[in-house]
Amino acid sequence: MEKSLKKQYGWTTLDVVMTAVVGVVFAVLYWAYNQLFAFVFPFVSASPVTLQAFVGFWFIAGTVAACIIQKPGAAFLGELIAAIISMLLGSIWGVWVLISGLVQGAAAEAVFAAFRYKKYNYFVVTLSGLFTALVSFFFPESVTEGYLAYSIPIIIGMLVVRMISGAILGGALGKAITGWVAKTGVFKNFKISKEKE
Amino acid sequence: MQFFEYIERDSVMHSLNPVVKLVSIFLLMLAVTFVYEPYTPLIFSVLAFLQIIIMGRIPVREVFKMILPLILVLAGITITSIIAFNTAAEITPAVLFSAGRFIITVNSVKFGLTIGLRTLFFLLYSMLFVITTDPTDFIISLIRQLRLPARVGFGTLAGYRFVPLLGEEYRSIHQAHRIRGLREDKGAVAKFRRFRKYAVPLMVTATRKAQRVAIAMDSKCFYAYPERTYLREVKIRKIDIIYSIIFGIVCIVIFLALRNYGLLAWGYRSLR
Repeated sequence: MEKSLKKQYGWTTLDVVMTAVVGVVFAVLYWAYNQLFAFVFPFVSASPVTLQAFVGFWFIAGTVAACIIQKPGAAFLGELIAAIISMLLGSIWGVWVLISGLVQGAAAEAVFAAFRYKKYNYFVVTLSGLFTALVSFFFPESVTEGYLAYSIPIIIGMLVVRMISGAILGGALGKAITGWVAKTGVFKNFKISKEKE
Repeated sequence: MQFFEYIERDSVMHSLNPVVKLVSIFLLMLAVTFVYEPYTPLIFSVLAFLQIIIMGRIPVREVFKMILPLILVLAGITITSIIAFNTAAEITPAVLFSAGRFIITVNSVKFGLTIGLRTLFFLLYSMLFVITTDPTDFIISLIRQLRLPARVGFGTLAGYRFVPLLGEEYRSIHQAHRIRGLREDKGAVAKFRRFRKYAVPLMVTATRKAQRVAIAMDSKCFYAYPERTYLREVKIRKIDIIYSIIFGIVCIVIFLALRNYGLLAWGYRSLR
Protein backbone atom coordinates (compact mmCIF):
# COMPACT_ATOMS: atom_id res chain seq x y z
CA MET A 1 0.00 0.00 0.00
CA GLU A 2 2.87 2.33 0.89
CA LYS A 3 4.48 1.88 -2.50
CA SER A 4 1.24 2.14 -4.45
CA LEU A 5 0.29 5.38 -2.70
CA LYS A 6 3.50 6.98 -3.86
CA LYS A 7 4.19 5.50 -7.27
CA GLN A 8 0.78 4.89 -8.77
CA TYR A 9 -1.14 7.91 -7.59
CA GLY A 10 1.65 10.43 -7.17
CA TRP A 11 1.16 11.10 -3.48
CA THR A 12 3.90 13.27 -2.02
CA THR A 13 4.90 13.31 1.65
CA LEU A 14 3.23 16.70 1.83
CA ASP A 15 -0.06 15.24 0.55
CA VAL A 16 0.00 12.54 3.22
CA VAL A 17 0.82 14.94 6.05
CA MET A 18 -1.74 17.47 4.83
CA THR A 19 -4.47 14.82 4.72
CA ALA A 20 -3.58 13.83 8.26
CA VAL A 21 -3.65 17.46 9.39
CA VAL A 22 -7.04 18.05 7.74
CA GLY A 23 -8.28 14.97 9.59
CA VAL A 24 -6.98 16.33 12.88
CA VAL A 25 -8.34 19.87 12.40
CA PHE A 26 -11.78 18.53 11.58
CA ALA A 27 -11.66 15.98 14.40
CA VAL A 28 -11.23 18.93 16.77
CA LEU A 29 -14.06 20.76 15.03
CA TYR A 30 -16.19 17.57 15.28
CA TRP A 31 -15.43 17.50 18.98
CA ALA A 32 -16.55 21.12 19.38
CA TYR A 33 -19.60 20.33 17.23
CA ASN A 34 -20.40 17.37 19.47
CA GLN A 35 -20.50 19.74 22.45
CA LEU A 36 -22.89 22.02 20.60
CA PHE A 37 -24.86 18.96 19.57
CA ALA A 38 -25.08 17.77 23.18
CA PHE A 39 -26.47 21.18 24.08
CA VAL A 40 -29.14 21.30 21.37
CA PHE A 41 -29.88 17.59 21.65
CA PRO A 42 -32.64 17.84 24.28
CA PHE A 43 -34.43 20.47 22.15
CA VAL A 44 -34.37 18.64 18.83
CA SER A 45 -34.43 15.08 20.07
CA ALA A 46 -38.21 15.07 20.37
CA SER A 47 -38.22 14.21 16.69
CA PRO A 48 -35.66 11.84 15.18
CA VAL A 49 -36.18 13.62 11.85
CA THR A 50 -34.91 17.05 12.98
CA LEU A 51 -31.93 15.36 14.58
CA GLN A 52 -30.76 14.20 11.15
CA ALA A 53 -30.35 17.82 10.00
CA PHE A 54 -27.12 18.00 12.02
CA VAL A 55 -25.50 14.84 10.71
CA GLY A 56 -23.91 16.21 7.52
CA PHE A 57 -21.12 18.09 9.25
CA TRP A 58 -19.54 14.76 10.30
CA PHE A 59 -18.75 14.00 6.63
CA ILE A 60 -16.84 17.22 5.95
CA ALA A 61 -13.24 16.05 6.60
CA GLY A 62 -13.29 13.69 3.62
CA THR A 63 -14.66 16.39 1.33
CA VAL A 64 -12.06 18.97 2.38
CA ALA A 65 -9.17 16.49 2.06
CA ALA A 66 -10.40 15.43 -1.39
CA CYS A 67 -10.77 19.04 -2.57
CA ILE A 68 -7.23 19.99 -1.50
CA ILE A 69 -5.30 16.84 -2.45
CA GLN A 70 -7.40 15.78 -5.48
CA LYS A 71 -5.84 12.33 -5.63
CA PRO A 72 -7.28 8.84 -5.16
CA GLY A 73 -7.70 7.93 -1.50
CA ALA A 74 -7.75 11.47 -0.12
CA ALA A 75 -11.41 11.48 0.92
CA PHE A 76 -11.10 8.05 2.49
CA LEU A 77 -7.90 8.83 4.39
CA GLY A 78 -9.08 12.26 5.54
CA GLU A 79 -12.30 10.90 7.00
CA LEU A 80 -10.57 7.85 8.52
CA ILE A 81 -7.93 9.96 10.27
CA ALA A 82 -10.62 12.34 11.53
CA ALA A 83 -12.41 9.29 12.95
CA ILE A 84 -9.26 7.95 14.66
CA ILE A 85 -8.56 11.31 16.29
CA SER A 86 -12.26 11.75 17.17
CA MET A 87 -12.17 8.48 19.04
CA LEU A 88 -9.03 9.53 20.90
CA LEU A 89 -10.54 12.89 21.87
CA GLY A 90 -13.63 11.09 23.15
CA SER A 91 -16.92 10.34 21.50
CA ILE A 92 -20.02 8.69 22.87
CA TRP A 93 -20.12 6.30 19.93
CA GLY A 94 -16.66 5.05 20.84
CA VAL A 95 -15.06 2.44 18.65
CA TRP A 96 -18.02 2.61 16.27
CA VAL A 97 -16.69 6.00 15.19
CA LEU A 98 -13.84 4.15 13.47
CA ILE A 99 -16.31 2.05 11.51
CA SER A 100 -18.34 5.16 10.68
CA GLY A 101 -15.15 6.80 9.43
CA LEU A 102 -14.29 3.83 7.24
CA VAL A 103 -17.78 3.67 5.72
CA GLN A 104 -18.22 7.43 5.27
CA GLY A 105 -14.74 7.74 3.78
CA ALA A 106 -15.36 4.87 1.38
CA ALA A 107 -18.74 6.28 0.30
CA ALA A 108 -17.30 9.72 -0.43
CA GLU A 109 -14.33 8.12 -2.19
CA ALA A 110 -16.67 6.11 -4.42
CA VAL A 111 -18.31 9.29 -5.74
CA PHE A 112 -14.98 11.00 -6.49
CA ALA A 113 -13.79 7.77 -8.14
CA ALA A 114 -16.92 7.74 -10.31
CA PHE A 115 -15.74 11.07 -11.73
CA ARG A 116 -12.24 9.59 -12.19
CA TYR A 117 -10.78 11.97 -9.63
CA LYS A 118 -10.97 14.77 -12.18
CA LYS A 119 -13.93 16.82 -11.00
CA TYR A 120 -14.15 18.53 -7.63
CA ASN A 121 -16.85 21.10 -8.33
CA TYR A 122 -19.93 21.85 -6.25
CA PHE A 123 -22.01 19.26 -8.09
CA VAL A 124 -19.66 16.34 -7.39
CA VAL A 125 -19.00 17.43 -3.81
CA THR A 126 -22.72 17.77 -3.06
CA LEU A 127 -23.34 14.37 -4.60
CA SER A 128 -20.60 12.88 -2.42
CA GLY A 129 -22.14 14.36 0.75
CA LEU A 130 -25.55 13.07 -0.27
CA PHE A 131 -24.30 9.59 -1.06
CA THR A 132 -22.29 9.41 2.17
CA ALA A 133 -25.42 10.35 4.12
CA LEU A 134 -27.40 7.62 2.39
CA VAL A 135 -24.84 4.84 2.86
CA SER A 136 -23.92 5.64 6.47
CA PHE A 137 -27.60 5.71 7.44
CA PHE A 138 -27.88 1.99 6.80
CA PHE A 139 -24.45 1.05 8.06
CA PRO A 140 -23.39 1.57 10.75
CA GLU A 141 -25.98 3.99 12.14
CA SER A 142 -29.10 1.88 11.67
CA VAL A 143 -27.28 -0.93 13.43
CA THR A 144 -26.07 1.08 16.40
CA GLU A 145 -29.11 3.33 16.83
CA GLY A 146 -31.79 0.81 15.85
CA TYR A 147 -33.33 3.11 13.19
CA LEU A 148 -34.90 0.17 11.37
CA ALA A 149 -37.27 -0.31 14.30
CA TYR A 150 -38.92 3.03 13.46
CA SER A 151 -41.99 3.26 11.24
CA ILE A 152 -41.47 3.64 7.47
CA PRO A 153 -42.66 7.30 7.17
CA ILE A 154 -40.23 8.34 9.92
CA ILE A 155 -37.36 6.46 8.24
CA ILE A 156 -38.10 8.16 4.90
CA GLY A 157 -38.31 11.58 6.57
CA MET A 158 -35.01 10.96 8.34
CA LEU A 159 -33.33 9.86 5.11
CA VAL A 160 -34.50 12.93 3.18
CA VAL A 161 -33.40 15.39 5.87
CA ARG A 162 -30.14 13.50 6.34
CA MET A 163 -29.29 13.55 2.63
CA ILE A 164 -29.96 17.30 2.40
CA SER A 165 -27.80 17.82 5.49
CA GLY A 166 -25.03 15.66 4.00
CA ALA A 167 -25.15 17.55 0.70
CA ILE A 168 -25.00 21.00 2.34
CA LEU A 169 -22.96 20.57 5.54
CA GLY A 170 -20.85 17.60 4.44
CA GLY A 171 -20.38 18.52 0.78
CA ALA A 172 -20.94 22.15 -0.21
CA LEU A 173 -19.63 23.64 3.06
CA GLY A 174 -16.41 21.63 2.73
CA LYS A 175 -15.89 22.93 -0.80
CA ALA A 176 -16.67 26.48 0.38
CA ILE A 177 -14.10 26.26 3.19
CA THR A 178 -11.37 25.06 0.82
CA GLY A 179 -12.32 27.92 -1.50
CA TRP A 180 -11.95 30.51 1.26
CA VAL A 181 -8.61 29.09 2.37
CA ALA A 182 -7.35 28.73 -1.21
CA LYS A 183 -7.80 32.48 -1.68
CA THR A 184 -5.04 33.10 0.86
CA GLY A 185 -2.60 31.29 -1.44
CA VAL A 186 -1.47 28.83 1.20
CA PHE A 187 -2.26 25.85 -1.04
CA LYS A 188 0.32 26.72 -3.69
CA ASN A 189 2.04 23.32 -3.38
CA PHE A 190 -1.17 21.35 -3.85
CA LYS A 191 -3.10 20.22 -6.87
CA ILE A 192 -6.02 22.50 -5.96
CA SER A 193 -4.02 25.63 -6.85
CA LYS A 194 -3.56 24.34 -10.40
CA GLU A 195 -7.31 24.62 -10.89
CA LYS A 196 -8.65 27.55 -12.86
CA GLU A 197 -10.69 29.89 -10.70
CA MET B 1 -16.55 19.36 29.06
CA GLN B 2 -13.14 18.02 28.25
CA PHE B 3 -11.25 15.68 25.95
CA PHE B 4 -10.78 12.08 26.94
CA GLU B 5 -7.16 11.79 27.86
CA TYR B 6 -4.53 9.14 28.28
CA ILE B 7 -3.78 8.72 31.98
CA GLU B 8 -0.43 7.11 32.66
CA ARG B 9 -0.56 4.23 35.12
CA ASP B 10 1.12 0.88 35.62
CA SER B 11 -1.76 -1.54 35.10
CA VAL B 12 -2.87 -4.61 33.17
CA MET B 13 -4.97 -2.55 30.73
CA HIS B 14 -2.06 -0.19 30.10
CA SER B 15 0.33 -3.02 29.29
CA LEU B 16 -1.88 -4.55 26.58
CA ASN B 17 -1.21 -4.17 22.88
CA PRO B 18 -3.45 -1.32 21.59
CA VAL B 19 -4.73 -3.20 18.54
CA VAL B 20 -5.52 -6.32 20.58
CA LYS B 21 -7.39 -4.15 23.07
CA LEU B 22 -9.26 -2.34 20.29
CA VAL B 23 -10.23 -5.51 18.44
CA SER B 24 -11.43 -7.28 21.62
CA ILE B 25 -13.56 -4.24 22.49
CA PHE B 26 -14.89 -4.02 18.94
CA LEU B 27 -15.91 -7.68 18.83
CA LEU B 28 -17.83 -7.29 22.10
CA MET B 29 -19.48 -4.08 20.81
CA LEU B 30 -20.50 -5.86 17.64
CA ALA B 31 -22.16 -8.66 19.63
CA VAL B 32 -23.96 -6.31 22.04
CA THR B 33 -25.18 -4.12 19.18
CA PHE B 34 -27.49 -6.86 17.98
CA VAL B 35 -28.98 -7.43 21.43
CA TYR B 36 -32.34 -5.74 22.01
CA GLU B 37 -32.97 -5.76 25.72
CA PRO B 38 -31.55 -3.42 28.38
CA TYR B 39 -29.94 -6.06 30.65
CA THR B 40 -27.01 -7.05 28.46
CA PRO B 41 -25.69 -3.50 27.80
CA LEU B 42 -26.23 -2.70 31.50
CA ILE B 43 -24.18 -5.67 32.68
CA PHE B 44 -21.41 -5.00 30.17
CA SER B 45 -21.39 -1.32 31.19
CA VAL B 46 -20.72 -2.47 34.75
CA LEU B 47 -17.96 -4.77 33.45
CA ALA B 48 -16.41 -1.85 31.53
CA PHE B 49 -16.57 0.34 34.62
CA LEU B 50 -14.88 -2.34 36.74
CA GLN B 51 -12.21 -2.84 34.07
CA ILE B 52 -11.51 0.90 34.06
CA ILE B 53 -11.17 1.30 37.83
CA ILE B 54 -9.71 -2.10 38.80
CA MET B 55 -7.75 -3.36 35.79
CA GLY B 56 -6.90 0.15 34.59
CA ARG B 57 -6.35 1.61 38.07
CA ILE B 58 -8.08 4.86 37.08
CA PRO B 59 -9.60 6.90 39.96
CA VAL B 60 -13.42 6.84 39.99
CA ARG B 61 -13.44 10.65 40.14
CA GLU B 62 -11.70 10.87 36.74
CA VAL B 63 -14.24 8.54 35.18
CA PHE B 64 -17.21 10.53 36.44
CA LYS B 65 -15.64 13.80 35.37
CA MET B 66 -15.69 12.52 31.80
CA ILE B 67 -19.10 10.79 31.85
CA LEU B 68 -21.29 13.31 33.68
CA PRO B 69 -21.44 15.96 30.92
CA LEU B 70 -22.61 13.28 28.50
CA ILE B 71 -25.51 12.01 30.63
CA LEU B 72 -27.81 14.61 29.05
CA VAL B 73 -27.07 13.22 25.58
CA LEU B 74 -27.67 9.67 26.79
CA ALA B 75 -31.04 10.75 28.23
CA GLY B 76 -31.86 12.48 24.94
CA ILE B 77 -31.01 9.38 22.91
CA THR B 78 -33.19 7.26 25.21
CA ILE B 79 -36.18 9.60 24.90
CA THR B 80 -35.86 9.90 21.11
CA SER B 81 -35.75 6.13 20.78
CA ILE B 82 -38.80 5.64 23.02
CA ILE B 83 -40.81 8.13 20.96
CA ALA B 84 -39.68 6.87 17.57
CA PHE B 85 -40.09 3.15 18.21
CA ASN B 86 -42.65 1.77 15.84
CA THR B 87 -45.10 -0.26 17.84
CA ALA B 88 -48.69 -1.36 17.49
CA ALA B 89 -51.15 -1.72 20.34
CA GLU B 90 -52.53 -5.01 19.04
CA ILE B 91 -49.10 -6.66 19.00
CA THR B 92 -47.80 -5.32 22.30
CA PRO B 93 -50.81 -4.82 24.55
CA ALA B 94 -49.06 -3.08 27.44
CA VAL B 95 -49.85 0.52 26.39
CA LEU B 96 -48.47 3.16 28.75
CA PHE B 97 -49.54 6.26 26.86
CA SER B 98 -51.53 6.95 23.74
CA ALA B 99 -52.67 10.00 21.78
CA GLY B 100 -54.44 9.09 18.56
CA ARG B 101 -52.14 6.95 16.47
CA PHE B 102 -49.17 7.76 18.67
CA ILE B 103 -48.60 5.17 21.38
CA ILE B 104 -45.92 4.32 23.87
CA THR B 105 -45.81 0.77 25.13
CA VAL B 106 -43.70 -1.14 27.61
CA ASN B 107 -41.72 -2.34 24.64
CA SER B 108 -41.00 1.20 23.40
CA VAL B 109 -39.55 1.98 26.81
CA LYS B 110 -37.51 -1.22 26.64
CA PHE B 111 -36.25 -0.21 23.20
CA GLY B 112 -35.33 3.28 24.44
CA LEU B 113 -33.49 1.89 27.44
CA THR B 114 -31.69 -0.58 25.18
CA ILE B 115 -30.39 2.17 22.91
CA GLY B 116 -29.55 4.50 25.82
CA LEU B 117 -27.70 1.87 27.87
CA ARG B 118 -25.97 0.58 24.78
CA THR B 119 -24.61 4.07 24.14
CA LEU B 120 -23.41 4.18 27.75
CA PHE B 121 -21.71 0.84 27.10
CA PHE B 122 -20.02 2.19 23.92
CA LEU B 123 -18.95 5.27 25.86
CA LEU B 124 -17.43 3.32 28.75
CA TYR B 125 -15.49 0.90 26.57
CA SER B 126 -14.11 3.63 24.34
CA MET B 127 -13.13 5.49 27.51
CA LEU B 128 -11.38 2.34 28.76
CA PHE B 129 -9.45 2.26 25.51
CA VAL B 130 -8.52 5.94 25.30
CA ILE B 131 -7.68 6.40 28.97
CA THR B 132 -5.32 3.39 29.08
CA THR B 133 -3.66 3.68 25.65
CA ASP B 134 -0.71 5.91 24.83
CA PRO B 135 -1.64 7.56 21.48
CA THR B 136 1.89 7.06 20.15
CA ASP B 137 1.77 3.34 20.93
CA PHE B 138 -1.67 3.15 19.35
CA ILE B 139 -0.51 4.64 16.03
CA ILE B 140 2.65 2.51 16.00
CA SER B 141 0.52 -0.52 16.74
CA LEU B 142 -1.74 0.40 13.80
CA ILE B 143 1.36 0.55 11.59
CA ARG B 144 2.88 -2.69 12.91
CA GLN B 145 -0.15 -4.90 13.44
CA LEU B 146 -2.73 -3.53 11.02
CA ARG B 147 -0.27 -2.46 8.30
CA LEU B 148 -1.33 1.18 8.22
CA PRO B 149 1.18 2.88 5.85
CA ALA B 150 3.92 4.36 8.05
CA ARG B 151 3.80 7.75 6.36
CA VAL B 152 0.09 8.01 7.10
CA GLY B 153 0.66 6.83 10.66
CA PHE B 154 3.45 9.23 11.47
CA GLY B 155 1.60 12.03 9.67
CA THR B 156 -1.39 11.36 11.90
CA LEU B 157 0.82 11.33 14.96
CA ALA B 158 2.36 14.66 13.95
CA GLY B 159 -1.17 15.95 13.44
CA TYR B 160 -2.28 14.68 16.83
CA ARG B 161 0.49 16.74 18.38
CA PHE B 162 -1.15 19.81 16.80
CA VAL B 163 -4.32 19.45 18.89
CA PRO B 164 -3.10 21.60 21.83
CA LEU B 165 -1.50 24.00 19.34
CA LEU B 166 -4.84 24.41 17.59
CA GLY B 167 -6.38 25.46 20.91
CA GLU B 168 -3.63 28.05 21.34
CA GLU B 169 -4.12 29.20 17.76
CA TYR B 170 -7.85 29.56 18.39
CA ARG B 171 -7.19 31.77 21.42
CA SER B 172 -4.75 34.00 19.56
CA ILE B 173 -7.19 34.43 16.65
CA HIS B 174 -9.85 35.33 19.18
CA GLN B 175 -7.56 37.89 20.80
CA ALA B 176 -6.56 39.29 17.41
CA HIS B 177 -10.24 39.79 16.61
CA ARG B 178 -10.88 41.42 19.97
CA ILE B 179 -7.94 43.81 19.71
CA ARG B 180 -9.23 44.99 16.35
CA GLY B 181 -12.63 45.63 17.87
CA LEU B 182 -14.49 42.83 16.10
CA ARG B 183 -17.89 42.37 17.69
CA GLU B 184 -19.19 38.88 18.26
CA ASP B 185 -22.86 39.16 17.34
CA LYS B 186 -25.43 36.56 18.19
CA GLY B 187 -27.78 34.83 15.77
CA ALA B 188 -27.34 32.10 13.20
CA VAL B 189 -25.95 34.26 10.37
CA ALA B 190 -23.43 35.97 12.65
CA LYS B 191 -22.41 32.58 14.04
CA PHE B 192 -21.81 31.29 10.52
CA ARG B 193 -19.70 34.35 9.66
CA ARG B 194 -17.73 33.86 12.86
CA PHE B 195 -17.16 30.20 12.00
CA ARG B 196 -15.62 31.40 8.75
CA LYS B 197 -13.44 33.98 10.52
CA TYR B 198 -12.00 31.23 12.71
CA ALA B 199 -11.96 28.33 10.24
CA VAL B 200 -9.88 30.11 7.58
CA PRO B 201 -6.95 31.27 9.75
CA LEU B 202 -6.98 27.91 11.57
CA MET B 203 -6.74 26.03 8.29
CA VAL B 204 -4.00 28.36 7.05
CA THR B 205 -1.77 27.82 10.08
CA ALA B 206 -2.49 24.09 10.01
CA THR B 207 -1.47 23.96 6.34
CA ARG B 208 1.75 25.82 7.05
CA LYS B 209 2.54 23.41 9.89
CA ALA B 210 1.82 20.46 7.60
CA GLN B 211 4.26 21.85 5.04
CA ARG B 212 6.98 22.28 7.64
CA VAL B 213 6.49 18.74 8.93
CA ALA B 214 6.50 17.32 5.39
CA ILE B 215 9.72 19.18 4.52
CA ALA B 216 11.32 17.92 7.73
CA MET B 217 10.27 14.35 6.93
CA ASP B 218 11.56 14.58 3.35
CA SER B 219 14.85 16.21 4.29
CA LYS B 220 15.53 13.44 6.81
CA CYS B 221 14.85 10.84 4.10
CA PHE B 222 11.79 9.53 5.91
CA TYR B 223 10.81 6.32 4.19
CA ALA B 224 13.58 6.45 1.63
CA TYR B 225 13.83 2.65 1.88
CA PRO B 226 10.93 0.21 2.08
CA GLU B 227 12.40 -1.55 5.14
CA ARG B 228 12.56 0.49 8.31
CA THR B 229 13.27 0.06 11.98
CA TYR B 230 11.31 1.42 14.90
CA LEU B 231 12.50 3.21 18.01
CA ARG B 232 9.49 2.03 19.99
CA GLU B 233 8.51 -1.56 19.46
CA VAL B 234 4.86 -2.44 19.97
CA LYS B 235 4.40 -6.20 19.75
CA ILE B 236 1.76 -8.76 20.59
CA ARG B 237 2.96 -10.47 23.74
CA LYS B 238 1.90 -13.37 25.94
CA ILE B 239 -0.19 -11.11 28.19
CA ASP B 240 -2.28 -10.05 25.17
CA ILE B 241 -3.13 -13.64 24.33
CA ILE B 242 -3.95 -14.48 27.96
CA TYR B 243 -6.10 -11.34 28.30
CA SER B 244 -7.96 -12.05 25.05
CA ILE B 245 -8.78 -15.60 26.12
CA ILE B 246 -9.95 -14.60 29.61
CA PHE B 247 -11.94 -11.62 28.30
CA GLY B 248 -13.56 -13.83 25.65
CA ILE B 249 -14.50 -16.47 28.23
CA VAL B 250 -15.95 -13.85 30.64
CA CYS B 251 -18.07 -12.33 27.87
CA ILE B 252 -19.35 -15.72 26.70
CA VAL B 253 -20.19 -16.71 30.29
CA ILE B 254 -22.15 -13.45 30.75
CA PHE B 255 -24.07 -14.07 27.52
CA LEU B 256 -24.82 -17.67 28.51
CA ALA B 257 -25.96 -16.63 32.00
CA LEU B 258 -28.29 -14.00 30.53
CA ARG B 259 -29.71 -16.58 28.15
CA ASN B 260 -30.11 -19.03 31.00
CA TYR B 261 -32.30 -16.52 32.86
CA GLY B 262 -34.26 -15.86 29.67
CA LEU B 263 -33.13 -12.22 29.49
CA LEU B 264 -31.20 -12.30 26.23
CA ALA B 265 -33.01 -11.24 23.04
CA TRP B 266 -31.49 -10.65 19.60
CA GLY B 267 -32.80 -8.21 16.98
CA TYR B 268 -35.35 -5.42 17.37
CA ARG B 269 -38.12 -7.68 16.09
CA SER B 270 -38.01 -9.48 19.43
CA LEU B 271 -39.60 -6.33 20.92
CA ARG B 272 -42.53 -6.25 18.52
